[in-house]
Amino acid sequence: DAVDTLKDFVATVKTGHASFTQVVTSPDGKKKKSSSGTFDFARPNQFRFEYAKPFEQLIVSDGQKVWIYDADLNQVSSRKFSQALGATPAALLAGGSLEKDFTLSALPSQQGVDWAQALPKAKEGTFQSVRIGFKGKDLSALEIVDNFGQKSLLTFTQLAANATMPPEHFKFTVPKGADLIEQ
Amino acid sequence: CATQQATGPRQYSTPDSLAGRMTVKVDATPTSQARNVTAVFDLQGTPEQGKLDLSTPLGTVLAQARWAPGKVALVTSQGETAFATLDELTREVLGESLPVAALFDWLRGRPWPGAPSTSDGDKAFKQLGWTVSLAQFGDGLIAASRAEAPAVSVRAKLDAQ
Repeated sequence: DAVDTLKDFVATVKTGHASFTQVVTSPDGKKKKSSSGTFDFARPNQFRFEYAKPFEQLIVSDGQKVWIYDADLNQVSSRKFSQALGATPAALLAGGSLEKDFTLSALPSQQGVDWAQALPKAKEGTFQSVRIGFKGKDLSALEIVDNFGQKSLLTFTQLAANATMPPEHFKFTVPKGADLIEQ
Repeated sequence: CATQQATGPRQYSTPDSLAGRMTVKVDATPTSQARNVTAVFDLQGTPEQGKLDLSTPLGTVLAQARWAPGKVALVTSQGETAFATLDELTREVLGESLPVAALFDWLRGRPWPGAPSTSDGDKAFKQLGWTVSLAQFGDGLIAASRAEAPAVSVRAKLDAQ
């Protein structure tokens, strides 16, 4: 079932590169915000969300720290990985200690996508549910519902697994002129 | 020459909501580090009754401020905390208070009617001890700064509707 697929995914796919589209739906369901970009990861806990549309934004984790760079605001903020609230879903995809960090359960399949639910064991309390979907063996989707009922659905395509990824790919250098505040 | 009308208010907001990304920076003081909150924001309602959601780029709401006559509260994953005023709430979250009531108008490219203001060149105005720049308002970008130490700066980029 999807839990076995997820365990196999974490065990065999050490690095990955995929395109993604993200749709965030407000708790009342009235507002939807779409964005897209590329997602790269290398276990454990190194990842890079590069948003291209509708605006440029970058989230990079080197496993110790998570940097967020917003090009329009010319602002960089960085936090320790452990305190980067909201990094949990990315840790599910890019993490190395799946069963230590999450309680896993299989959910019914929908439209050819097999879903697994992953509840964070750390009582971070930020999430109602985090679910990961597979099409066969391929990572297909990540659905995050937070405690306010806001839902983010990330859909992945063209996943290239186990490509070699230079370590600098997950290093963040502050763009010239951008302001950095380390929390 | 035609004065450059503050273009774009409709393009970047709807009557009851303003959404985009915001970064708030508070300078260091002898007793505290510099602080920064950068988040996706959704400001709804009116200065009298409304709410402000702060979320991550991945769409996870980390904090929600809610206010109505006689009730101001901050809700996070740790629970709900009541405050006497919005000023007190923002001081708790940021270390310095933020004029949320005025933001409703500042983010629409105009001074808040609730307090006196003076123009500061043709693309900025001063109000409540803040200087609000509208130089890039056509692109939905507003920058406000408060000189009084510790200096505070707010930069907001509104989502095109």
